[in-house]
Amino acid sequence: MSLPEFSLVYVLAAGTVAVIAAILSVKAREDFYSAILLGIVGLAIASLIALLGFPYVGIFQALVYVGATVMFVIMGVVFIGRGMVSEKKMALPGVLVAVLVFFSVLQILVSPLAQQVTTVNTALSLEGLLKVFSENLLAFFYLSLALLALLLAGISIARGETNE
Amino acid sequence: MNDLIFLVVSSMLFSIGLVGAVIHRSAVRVMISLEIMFNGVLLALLTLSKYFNPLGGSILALYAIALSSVEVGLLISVFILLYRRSKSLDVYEIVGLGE
Repeated sequence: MSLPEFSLVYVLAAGTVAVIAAILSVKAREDFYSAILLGIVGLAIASLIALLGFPYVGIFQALVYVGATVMFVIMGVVFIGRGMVSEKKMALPGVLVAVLVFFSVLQILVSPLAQQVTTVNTALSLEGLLKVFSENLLAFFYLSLALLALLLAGISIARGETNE
Repeated sequence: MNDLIFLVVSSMLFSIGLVGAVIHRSAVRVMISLEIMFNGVLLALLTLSKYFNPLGGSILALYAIALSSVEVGLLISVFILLYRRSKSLDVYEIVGLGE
């Protein structure tokens, strides 16, 4: 599937924003700014996912990931405050490792595309989502139960409710 | 060519997150770096699923995003408790939790 030319500009812009925000997030001195930049990465990825042809997943990413996950991180950072952890500067080895990992991961990801030429164009639609939900009601129930249990466990741990 | 851009971006995010996770000592920063890696993997999953199984890839992505949200909530809770207990989030100083 080839995107129209105007979409290519958006793809390049969103990709650049995602990468720059990720670099700044890793290099930021304060945890708070790092969390904010993580939110920008999430938004850029959401727009990339939407441009890829999965609009519902993009919306879900923007709402749930940026709206909930990044907010969790920001609230946690605000609660904790400055963690007082001294960081050592490892710029050169870090860049070297990043470049090596980048090329190896890209090689792994591109190799399936070289063998596959056809595109299956049946992305998730609202009807498809409702169909999947209605056909797998029990699975969604179990997943919801698991998520609820995890959330309760998190709240319990944060409140320090131990057996002592 | 366009799909190559998505894969390049996802690989770059993965490698940047990996380096961040390795070089930082603060547990919060390690978690944020792991989240950057997660974003890269999610983008790669959807890019490749477009060719093989778009519906399955979409559903897997939805599950992954929801689970990531819960995972972060749990980790932040653990970090708050750890900070209360040891006044530090240095991953090299967090020892003796089993005692």
